[in-house]
Amino acid sequence: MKTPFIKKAFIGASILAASLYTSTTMAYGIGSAVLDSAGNNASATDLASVNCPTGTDHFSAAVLDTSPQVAGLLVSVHIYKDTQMTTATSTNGNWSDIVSVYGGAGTYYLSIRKTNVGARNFTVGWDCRDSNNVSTGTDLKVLQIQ
Amino acid sequence: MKSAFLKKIIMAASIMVAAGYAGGALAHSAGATIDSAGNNASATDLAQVICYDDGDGPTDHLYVTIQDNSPPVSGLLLSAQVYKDGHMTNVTDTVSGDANSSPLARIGGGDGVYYLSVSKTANGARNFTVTYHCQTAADVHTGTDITVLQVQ
Repeated sequence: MKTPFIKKAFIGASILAASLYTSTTMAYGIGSAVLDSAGNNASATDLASVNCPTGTDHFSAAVLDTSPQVAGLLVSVHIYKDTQMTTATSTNGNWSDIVSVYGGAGTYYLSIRKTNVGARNFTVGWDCRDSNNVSTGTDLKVLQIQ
Repeated sequence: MKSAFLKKIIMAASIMVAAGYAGGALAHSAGATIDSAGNNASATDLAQVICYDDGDGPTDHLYVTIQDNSPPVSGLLLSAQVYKDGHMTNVTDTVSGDANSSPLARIGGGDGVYYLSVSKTANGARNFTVTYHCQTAADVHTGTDITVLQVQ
């Protein structure tokens, strides 16, 4: 079982790698981690804030549950900003729908959660976009790892 | 299909009824139907819960349970999420349509504004009841108000 510190470092490294990659190509971010590595916390939630720069029209995200399927154990992504929130769920080993919150520039909150106890590997992608769906750059800060 | 406006009024009315009841029973709950058209897997209802010292003591935490009142559908599960100041938790009613609610979820954030949301994992209308309490460190009910921000 990974400690939260190692886990945080892992997701931080993934995010950093993604950020480095995206700095020279595209502005989206992608990261992977394990949620509820001990498998005993149905309420486990990973949370990050993403600052979207001036020119941003909306923030989009999707999640992929990469663990073997378990009935009733589903992984979802949530986006929250100001008075808006949306969600999408990965099912049958496929990426979730890409969902967006149209909140302009500023701080969005991105979270990953699941519906029951059990460790889940996941990959999450996120992107600040302008009104033409062009990436505007992302700046992600991990707030909570569970 | 209800309009969003009508739906919001209905939810607000439910909350007002619950709040009125809560004045005597020290409980808060609200009921609504999420994704009434049954075609929006991303449907999310969102509210602010304001916790404050109403004379019974300052808030230590907000706790929430959710009950999915609709018949079970495989892969369609209803959850509640709570966010405050860089912390977030969630809870799911894993058995839909029975008389039992989910386990409780709680965030310890003191007095202030908490964000409470309800979402689900797939298309399909779900009728739910969400119960929320601002409580002191001794689990005494304290000031609890709600403002609905988004109804889908």
